[in-house]
Amino acid sequence: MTSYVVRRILQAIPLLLVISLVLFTILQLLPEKPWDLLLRNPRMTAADRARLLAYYGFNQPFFVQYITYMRNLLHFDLGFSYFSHQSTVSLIAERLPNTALLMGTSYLFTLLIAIPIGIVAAVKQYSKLDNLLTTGAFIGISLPQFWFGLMLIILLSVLPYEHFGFRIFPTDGMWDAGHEGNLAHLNLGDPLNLAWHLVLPGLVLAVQSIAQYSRFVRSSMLDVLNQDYIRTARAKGLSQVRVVVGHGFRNSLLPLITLMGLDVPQLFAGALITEQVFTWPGMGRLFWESAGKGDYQVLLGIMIILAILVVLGNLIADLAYGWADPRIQYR
Amino acid sequence: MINTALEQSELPRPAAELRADYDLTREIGYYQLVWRRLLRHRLAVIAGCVILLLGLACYIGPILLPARWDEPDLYNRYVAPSLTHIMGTDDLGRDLFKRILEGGQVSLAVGVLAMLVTIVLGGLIGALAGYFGRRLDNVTMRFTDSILAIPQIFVLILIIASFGQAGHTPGVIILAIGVTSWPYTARIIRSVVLSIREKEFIEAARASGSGNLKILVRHVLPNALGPIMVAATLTIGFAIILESALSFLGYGLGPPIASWGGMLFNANAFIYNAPYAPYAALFPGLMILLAVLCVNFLGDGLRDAFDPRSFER
Repeated sequence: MTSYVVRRILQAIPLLLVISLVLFTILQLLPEKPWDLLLRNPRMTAADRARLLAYYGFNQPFFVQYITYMRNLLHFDLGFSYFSHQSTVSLIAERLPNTALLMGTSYLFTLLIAIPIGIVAAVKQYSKLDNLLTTGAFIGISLPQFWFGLMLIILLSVLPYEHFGFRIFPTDGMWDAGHEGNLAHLNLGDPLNLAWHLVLPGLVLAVQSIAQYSRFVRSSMLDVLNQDYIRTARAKGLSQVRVVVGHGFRNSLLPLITLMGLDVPQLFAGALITEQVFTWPGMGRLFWESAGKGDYQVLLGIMIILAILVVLGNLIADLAYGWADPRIQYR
Repeated sequence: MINTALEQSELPRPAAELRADYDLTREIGYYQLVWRRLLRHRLAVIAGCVILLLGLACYIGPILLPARWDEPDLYNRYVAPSLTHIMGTDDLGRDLFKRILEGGQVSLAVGVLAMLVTIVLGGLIGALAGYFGRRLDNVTMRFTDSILAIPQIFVLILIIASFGQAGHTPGVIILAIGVTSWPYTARIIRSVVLSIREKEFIEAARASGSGNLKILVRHVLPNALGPIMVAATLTIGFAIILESALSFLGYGLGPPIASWGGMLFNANAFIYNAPYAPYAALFPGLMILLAVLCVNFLGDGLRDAFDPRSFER
């Protein structure tokens, strides 16, 4: 097991190297160079320009820049924001917990809603209910998240406020004024207020996953229900509920672990959109703000961190699968 | 492809209808068989018809509707849906129904063109990687692995932002979506080509002296057409959603051009405060949902029709 973990981590390193090289190359190929913004001041003299380029290391050849960047990365140094001159790492550290909370909530909603739907659809295969849930899953997959978010805001916040003077759910930020906390400093503020603010964004982020996972649970449940040991359980005279819940349940949920790992990039992408709709101060919003300003050090830093988290997510999912399924032997 | 769940979906099909496939008195070709199976997939047929109607409405409708509906009419701003304006009017008093049809031209065209870029790039790279294998395959797959680890919309925003004002033109958006989407397609095509490569008829073709190019074009490509078409169909839906998401984030098509996502971006400004105009956000989103849903249903139907295993069920 230990050697497997070590080997997987060693395999992840070249992957991350390729990812960072790809990102670095994309940045060089873009029409606006990462340093163009620094040089925009018309009153800047040639000597100033040279000094500025040298300060950020942009006068070096491509590979020297890349190697310097990677060496700094090993020291948790991802450069500075051109504007606030805060370090990228501290900017990301400020926002990452907020996105993590949002994604965690989304996973929770997904599992709580998708698993029962999938099991019911599998047990009642080809029934009217199953067809209805299948159609529902198609709609969920085709649903543009931001529009779903806007509709929820209109239905649960704007319209009630317009007609009755109160909002069922809040629509922006993480806390109401006076209840603020800061997740980066492990300060939850008013937890109930936070939870209240989490409901809509969590649901919007989860909707696509709910559709996908419920189909996944359905098909893996169908596989399990055709196994011999399920027939044995039925032959022993167990009730339908005990067969499904006691014997089928756990095995049919195993593939979800892999799916959750593979879902991380999609969830980050969804988080960017959701954070935008609900003005949630997460990493996606930081990226959006930085893109508007052309703050390339921050943009590159966020994408590198995302890639590391995605690779880490896959690794954890693989290991968790082995832990959950004793039939898997790691060598 | 992108949606794991779609790959697994299976709709019930009564066994009696399957007999039509085994019409022994008359020989029919493979594509005729696929066509028949597709026609039996009721949802896919309905979805296909809706897409056709939607396309026709978007490209012909605006010509038939009065031209003055496009003119700003400041006395009739934020008019709620009524008989004269069935979807209401926007912040400048323009008729929303007509604008939605015009926006559909853009959204559908971007979807189809981005799909073409994706399929050509992904198909080419995937086919070469799968056919030649070994080092080329290794390099390509490590490369796609690394691209897939970065959420697509982040790269898209980066690319479009760096183009500045030019980033909001259809050409840049289409190319950007295509250039960032191909790894998904390449993986599917690669795995299909990988299995075709091992078939006996490829060996036979090689034994009879065909070169690699001829084998790829004459033998591999026709046999991979099914998965390619399914991937292409689903890619259209994916591209439509991506374009609208980008427009909604302010990195899509700019104001002179109306697209469904861009209309949502505009609507976003006047759903929170008076004058409330929720329908301005409702209708463009409904159109996106309708178009993408139909494309996905059609893709699902195509998959079933091309998949020989659906014979046996």
